[in-house]
Amino acid sequence: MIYLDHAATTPVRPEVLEAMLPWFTEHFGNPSSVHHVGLTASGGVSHARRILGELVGLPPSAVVFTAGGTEADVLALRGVFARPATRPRSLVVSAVEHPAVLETARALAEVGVALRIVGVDAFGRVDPSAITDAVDATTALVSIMHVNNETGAAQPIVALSRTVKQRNPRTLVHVDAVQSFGRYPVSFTRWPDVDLISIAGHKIYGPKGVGALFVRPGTHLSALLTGGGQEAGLRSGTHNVPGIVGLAEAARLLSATAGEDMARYATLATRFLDGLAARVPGAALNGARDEVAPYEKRAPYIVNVRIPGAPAEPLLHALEAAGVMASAGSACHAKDAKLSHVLSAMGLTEASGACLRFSFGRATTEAHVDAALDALVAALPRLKAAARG
Amino acid sequence: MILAARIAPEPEFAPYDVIVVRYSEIFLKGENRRLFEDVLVKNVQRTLVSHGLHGLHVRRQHARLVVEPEPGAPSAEVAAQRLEDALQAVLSVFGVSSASLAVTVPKDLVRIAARGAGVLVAAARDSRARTFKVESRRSDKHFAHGTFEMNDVVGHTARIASGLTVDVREPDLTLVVEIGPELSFVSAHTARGPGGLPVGVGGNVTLLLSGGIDSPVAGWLCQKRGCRLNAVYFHAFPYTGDGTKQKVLELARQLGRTQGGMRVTVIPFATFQEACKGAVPARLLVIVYRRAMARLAERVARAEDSAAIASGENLGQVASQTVINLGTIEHAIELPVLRPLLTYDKNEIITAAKRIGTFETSILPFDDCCSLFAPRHPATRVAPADAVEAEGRVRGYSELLDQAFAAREIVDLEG
Repeated sequence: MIYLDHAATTPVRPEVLEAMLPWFTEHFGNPSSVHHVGLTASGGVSHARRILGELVGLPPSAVVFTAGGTEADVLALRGVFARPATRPRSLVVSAVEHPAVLETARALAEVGVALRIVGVDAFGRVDPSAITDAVDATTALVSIMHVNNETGAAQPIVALSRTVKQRNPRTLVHVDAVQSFGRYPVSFTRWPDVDLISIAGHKIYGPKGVGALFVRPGTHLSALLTGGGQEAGLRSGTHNVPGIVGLAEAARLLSATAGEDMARYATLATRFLDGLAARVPGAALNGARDEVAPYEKRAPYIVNVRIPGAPAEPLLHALEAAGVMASAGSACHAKDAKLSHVLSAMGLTEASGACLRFSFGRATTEAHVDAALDALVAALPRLKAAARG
Repeated sequence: MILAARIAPEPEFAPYDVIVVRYSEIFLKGENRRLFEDVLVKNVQRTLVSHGLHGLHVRRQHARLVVEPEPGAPSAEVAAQRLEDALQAVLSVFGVSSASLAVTVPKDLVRIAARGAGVLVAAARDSRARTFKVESRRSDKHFAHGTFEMNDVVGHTARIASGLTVDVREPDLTLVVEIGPELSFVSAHTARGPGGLPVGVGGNVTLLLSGGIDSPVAGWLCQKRGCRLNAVYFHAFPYTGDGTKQKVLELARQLGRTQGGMRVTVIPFATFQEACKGAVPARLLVIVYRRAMARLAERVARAEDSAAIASGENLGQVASQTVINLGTIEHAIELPVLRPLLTYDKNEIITAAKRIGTFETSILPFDDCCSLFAPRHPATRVAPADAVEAEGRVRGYSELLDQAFAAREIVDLEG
């Protein structure tokens, strides 16, 4: 099997699994207990908190563990707007946000939050001037994702967040870094105008069902889950100790090799895109080509291409029959034949052709990339003929 | 006899120790009755096992079936719990007209009244019932008390014990008392089964099963009239993904539960569809596909010893489903085509699918026919001769069907 769907999820690294295992059995305690069994578990969580805090340049207390990326995003949005003190009640998001942000924003709009959605260019990138127009004295929060899960488009977070603060210093900035954390250097030091960052374990070779929201000290949120008061009252519920340990270990390991990983992904992307251009006439990249560090325009590990005249879903099935696992748009919508909101926002239509996403990971080799191209080239004549009719 | 009405013993709470199963139409079948009863016993047994209910025994008992714990149950309470769990499974078996969760009684009117009061009190506790009536039946004519007296004594006792009032016309609960030559019982918990005939007495039928809402219901209705199903599924990979195939197999597994499993023949269909597209006028594509499916299903039917094929086709649900077109499809084969849903409205089909439990699976989001091969304006009045002419335009028509049939995959699902 050739797995080119790492943006959907990644396998847990053996070292991460190894690190997690004792926390299921030997050190099974509840971190909230006062006896030594609980203290041991509490120590595991604290250690994980320190590692993650150091990686993003914040004190350990700024790390709020959640049950995944979606919960981290929802906590950021609802946590801001649920505060009685949040009086300027407008929210700005980009049109290409993950549904965790976009649908939450729409739900907030139904209860009175003024929602402004800023568009993107043909490469899927937000123009800082659009942010200038959208942010005003009423804006409580701007939420912009770093690397897009469908296209790999990377947003200029430094410039965008600076623009926000210039317009309104009190506006908070949230960045969904689920697809970029562990690959790009994601930190509050590099992003001095960012207040909240979301990450998820299963995109970085860690476990599913765990994530974190990093909260810059001084940023005030309301809790979504109330109860025992864990995570400084921001997220009640007994800690997922093995998951938290796994998240931190996965983040530590992946961040350590981020630079060389990215260079390898860039080589793979170049090989794939050059091969595609040579072998599949009319095929094109949905996004900007950028295979040179620091990869400001597009993440080299996500390649979204359109193939005119071919049907997307049958193409995916044909690739799978050849052993290649890819995706149409994001996995959440792969069963939906309609064009995703992200690709629509970039100005594409269903007539643009099949849009397929190939996302590379640590195990991806040049041979995998070549095999994917071979499978694509082999499947196309038949499917194009069927689509012509 | 009036004297007897004054006897009001304390209610006796005994655990359920039997399910009494009634069947109806089987009586009509004369000398076949014994065969039908044997099939029904076997089907009830198989259904219990397929629901993971073990330690229960099914036997025939004087125009009833009896489900009872096998000897050696850990305790009477455990056995009673097993019977309670088994009732729903029993009620899903075709041929069962009703079933009662019951407590057996000795042939002693005072004890019968006491246990009858006990089951009524227990049933009233689990519901918001306020009224009841007693329904007595006596097939053992040696029993000294008539049904009038039984109703009187049991009703009096049960009324005092339960505090419910008697309503003979629309009672919330019915307390059934049956005195048979071998088996006597009381029950306040009788529910209707699906009726129909036991699966297997009606011969084999090959069902065209898709991932949609209709075809599973059509199959269920064939089973209801005693037919044992096998299924054929046309898989248009890569235009249809393997998710749809999994869904079809799940539907077959659900239908197979009352007949001890099901065989599904999966026939790859995309190559044939590709060959038709371009060769056949677009408006005739649907009829050419349907006739090819009928032909391949007929081959499966022969291999599976089926006397007919069955489909979820309906009059007018989609534009191409006209009387003329259905006739032209049927014209391609010799075996009869059963269409149990022919005259149903879509909402009737959906209601039935929900009742039999296939609806939730059917609406899972995998498309069951790729729109690439569905013309926008299919012909509504295709004569057989026109279909034959269109098929003649497909290069290597019969070889393509041979190849599709040869490439079939047989999946045997356990019950």
